[in-house]
Amino acid sequence: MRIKFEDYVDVEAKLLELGCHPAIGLAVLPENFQSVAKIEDFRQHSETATVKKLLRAAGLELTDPVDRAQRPPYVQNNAADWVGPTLFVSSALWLQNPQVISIALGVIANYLTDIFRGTDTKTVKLNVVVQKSNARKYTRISYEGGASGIAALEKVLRKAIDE
Amino acid sequence: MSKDVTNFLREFNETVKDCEALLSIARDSELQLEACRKLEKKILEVREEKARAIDEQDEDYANCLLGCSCAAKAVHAELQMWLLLKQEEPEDAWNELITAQDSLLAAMRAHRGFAHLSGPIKRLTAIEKIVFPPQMFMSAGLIVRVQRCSVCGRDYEDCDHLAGRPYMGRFCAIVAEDLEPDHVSIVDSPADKRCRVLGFETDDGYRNRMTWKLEKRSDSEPANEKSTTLTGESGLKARAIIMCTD
Repeated sequence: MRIKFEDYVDVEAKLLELGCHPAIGLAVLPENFQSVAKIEDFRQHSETATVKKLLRAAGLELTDPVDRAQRPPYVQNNAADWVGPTLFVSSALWLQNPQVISIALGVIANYLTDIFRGTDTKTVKLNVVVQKSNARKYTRISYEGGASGIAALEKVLRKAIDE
Repeated sequence: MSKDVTNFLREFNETVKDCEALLSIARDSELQLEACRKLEKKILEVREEKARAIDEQDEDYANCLLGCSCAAKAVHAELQMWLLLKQEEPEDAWNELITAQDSLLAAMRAHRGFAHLSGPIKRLTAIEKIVFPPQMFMSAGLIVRVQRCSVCGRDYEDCDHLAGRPYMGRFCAIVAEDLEPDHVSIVDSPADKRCRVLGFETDDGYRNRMTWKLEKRSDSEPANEKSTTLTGESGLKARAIIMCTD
């Protein structure tokens, strides 16, 4: 299992700058969110749609930064690794409804355990961007490891938010 | 479970068990061919039984039959692999090995009744490492503008089906539309192990990575016009499969 911490762009400012919807609570960000200059350049991993459906099926409200008509193209890499999207968790959501992230990570882990049944070598990659409490600072936590390790990310996220 | 269903599954299990006894390179080729024919017949029977289950909207049984079909395909593919190896066709044998591995994994995803297949999967992984030489795998990256659901045909993001899960006897898959190639890379773990480097050019000709045979270059054939190739930075020319369709 490998977990990496990196500073991330000011999500709210970047969404505003690009003319996207504000990310309220839980959101899925395009994979190249930090580097693009306009919405048309957004790209998302092909598994993003599955993750969105899993979260919605679990009753979680999800903000889409763009309208359906502006839905970014998908990047499909035919490797065995499962590459998930970048989830964004605002500090407000964490304060008001902290169990949301636990549910989100749980449903993703359950789905992956299900579809990877019979294999013990599949690597899962998932990014989560969190906003530090009481600050306009953002951190990206990149997870790489087995599906079962995803659920344990919650503690790591909590630490990153509270630091 | 009705008596008919129980009988059907019992007969299926007996056929597969009989054929599994022939899963070895040492077994007689005629017997292996006969087993392949039996399995092909059984797969057709499973298909008909699944159609009946779908008509009756019995999703659990339809998914169980999907698993049966995958399990039978796995045994068929492994038998074919041994037959092809005996015929000195290791490249086709490799493709059958991968079909066998993928079919076992699919059977496990199809229905809880196939949870016991992790043992055979480990066995095939061992065969991959021991019987075949190490392979160099390829992965193609695509930009896809539309992802469609294979179950309902709607935009994949807008329906409730989840890729990889079984629904009424078939798996949900993402059908990529309006796509363009983005990149090709060499990876340790590809999505499809049939995507691999087949061979490369040497000073004397073309070296097959599986058989290690050298196809000598004729004097009239210049080295840089040999094949449909990809050229690496070092100037190495290789031939590879970068994408397969089922």
